[in-house]
Amino acid sequence: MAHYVSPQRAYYGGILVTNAKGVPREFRHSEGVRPTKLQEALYGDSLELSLGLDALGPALYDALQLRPDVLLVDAESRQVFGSFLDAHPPAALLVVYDDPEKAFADTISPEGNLLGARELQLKTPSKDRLFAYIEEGDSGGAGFRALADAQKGMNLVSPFQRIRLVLAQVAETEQDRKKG
Amino acid sequence: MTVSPPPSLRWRRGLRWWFLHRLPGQWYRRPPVREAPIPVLDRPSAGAVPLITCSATTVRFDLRAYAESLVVLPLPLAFDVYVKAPSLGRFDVRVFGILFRTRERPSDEITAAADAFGIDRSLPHARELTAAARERNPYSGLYAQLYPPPEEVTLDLTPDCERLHNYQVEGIRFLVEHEHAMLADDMGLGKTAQCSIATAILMRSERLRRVLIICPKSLVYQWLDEASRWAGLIARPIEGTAWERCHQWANYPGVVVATPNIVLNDIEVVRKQDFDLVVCDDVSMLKNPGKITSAIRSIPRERSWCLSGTPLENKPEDLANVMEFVHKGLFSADEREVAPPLDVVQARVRPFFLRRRKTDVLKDLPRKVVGEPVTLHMRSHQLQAYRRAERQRWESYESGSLTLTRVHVFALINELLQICSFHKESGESAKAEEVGEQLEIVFDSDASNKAIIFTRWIDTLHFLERRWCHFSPLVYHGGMSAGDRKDVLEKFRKSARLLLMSVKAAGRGLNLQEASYVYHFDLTWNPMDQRQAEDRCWRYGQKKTVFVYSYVQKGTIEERIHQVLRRKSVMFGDYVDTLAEDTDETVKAKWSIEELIELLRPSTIPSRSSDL
Repeated sequence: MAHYVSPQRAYYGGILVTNAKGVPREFRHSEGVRPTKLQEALYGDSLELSLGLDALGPALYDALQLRPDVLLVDAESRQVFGSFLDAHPPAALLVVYDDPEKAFADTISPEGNLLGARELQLKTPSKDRLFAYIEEGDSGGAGFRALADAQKGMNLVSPFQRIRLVLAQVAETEQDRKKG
Repeated sequence: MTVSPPPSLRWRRGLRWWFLHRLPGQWYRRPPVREAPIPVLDRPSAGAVPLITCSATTVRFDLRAYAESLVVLPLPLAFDVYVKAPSLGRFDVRVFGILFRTRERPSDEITAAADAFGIDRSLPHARELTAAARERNPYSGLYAQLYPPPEEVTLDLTPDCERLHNYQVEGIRFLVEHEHAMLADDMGLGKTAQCSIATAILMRSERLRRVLIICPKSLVYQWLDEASRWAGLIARPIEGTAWERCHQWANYPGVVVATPNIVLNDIEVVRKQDFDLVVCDDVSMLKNPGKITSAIRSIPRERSWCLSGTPLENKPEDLANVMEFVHKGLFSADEREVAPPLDVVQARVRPFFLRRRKTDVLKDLPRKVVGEPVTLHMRSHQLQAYRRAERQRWESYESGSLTLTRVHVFALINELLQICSFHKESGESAKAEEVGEQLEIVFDSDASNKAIIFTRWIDTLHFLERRWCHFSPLVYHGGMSAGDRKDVLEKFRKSARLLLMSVKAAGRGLNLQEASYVYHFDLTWNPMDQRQAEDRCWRYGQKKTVFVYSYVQKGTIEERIHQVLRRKSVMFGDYVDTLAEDTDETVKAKWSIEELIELLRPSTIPSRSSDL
């Protein structure tokens, strides 16, 4: 899951389901959700969390026809979708570090459990290292097994960038439609 | 050092924090259900539907405020909240999306699965669906970007992929991103490799399942080799008897390679296949509105790619005809007869067209030195035979005893051209003498030097094979079996020094970087044929400077044809090089009978031998 905030401060969410080779299977995204000024003032710092947990996350997830084995979020969208992922285990936060020393225990969301870092293979020529903080829930290790399988066949991080790229273009298209 | 905010601001921030972080948890409750139904998706049909899009209904989340919480709000804000209370916790989320259709299973399996699950197979085909889908989902055009980028997939292909040039990566991306594409790179820049890798990427992404490559017979086995070497693709040739081919069309999975004639012969079977991509390597098969062109255009497909180093050889209409395969309807039927102005053609073709020149992208490629044609003088028997033939035909024409049709004129011209190459009765050949001397020098100067002689006639090939037997030449022409041709090329690459080739059978697509000396023993009707032939050597992987020689017999029909060829080369530059090919038959078709007869007119310039 990933999100994008347009220059007009509209929030766009996207969820991409891929197979273990990184081939897209299903994609859901929202149009821009633009909080009112009053909502921004009242929700304050919890606005993104509420949007992800109560609006974008459930809307996208419930629209899926294919149920993913594990939900993933990267550091950039943790603020928005972290709490939603915590509520839907197995789920994992993926973080890329240039120095493995930085990979301490972390949480997927502010209210989530403290999780240990598990290193995964990052299929790029760079020296960066990929770590996953996996909230298994009562899945019995299904989250890690799914990630361990997928890491062999795909770059686990690049789909987040592709989602954001599409969301940015969705934002542009939506603006153009409104103008046109 | 940190600067503390003033007390009043601190107080306001503290209050705001309290309201914003404490209040929401207290004064709203999370909605147990959503108001709107969950968006429903279309299911993928059993047909070739790549993407299914859907538009969704709005999902509303109604968060109601508790009245008692509002009393703690400052009055203006409390009033605002009271008035707008129903909408405070409401975010309208409109969800759109796509269910990607996978191509990993054969269509019959999908059909069987559809039957098993009672899926309605009468769903519309992708092309019919597209417009309606776009109307329902304005973002459907953006979803192709969700596939892994080519660089990510090539990492897993073959070791050769790691040696790709930047321009090749760009070419692969161009093909992957375009359903309708013409890759018109200069010959030798690796069009086959780029196309193989792009095909492999799309197959790995499950966007392609069956691919048809149409190429000349001489390139079939090269395609099989390159597809395997560059992309690890297993390509299978369509060949053998009609019954065998029918079985192959129906049962070969993945990539199949066929010649244009086989496609024409088996067109009814081919149309029933579910090809996702059809690639035409060498577009000369598409330039004339004939049976082969119509057959190829009629193959049902999702993607159409063309590969050609010389998409235009004679006239702009060629490009319009080729583009009709690449992108149906780009030029109207009238425009394919008489092409619109240059800028109009370029503007329409540009979005689907990619051309790079060797001089621009392969800075380290050795030079190609093309000399002016060497003018030779025929020996006495050869010259006498030529003049006799020329005079007899002309006198018969002038006396009116000979009714000349285009076919007759071409036959007469070919007869004269053949005498220019060698005289059958006496075995005299000024060209063979000259080229033979050159070859002695080339082979003596460096033992690693290899040379190729291109000619139009098989008789000439056999004449030269006998005459230069001391060089142990290899012969390659269209009358040989595919296996024999492959053996000849392998032998040449390993050990032989001289290769005699038919320009028609070998001029396109082959990789012969081992040779660096090219001799055009006679002229072709088409300057692009010559350029194609010499670029078999001057391509990516060539280590030495390539020298190209051609020959013209003084005072003969060769001289006059050479002038016309020079004119045609200029036109190619106008149309294609600014954006970024034709056969003998199309060139011939553009000659008027008067022009042809003028070529036959005996030369007034006496040859040196005639003075003897």
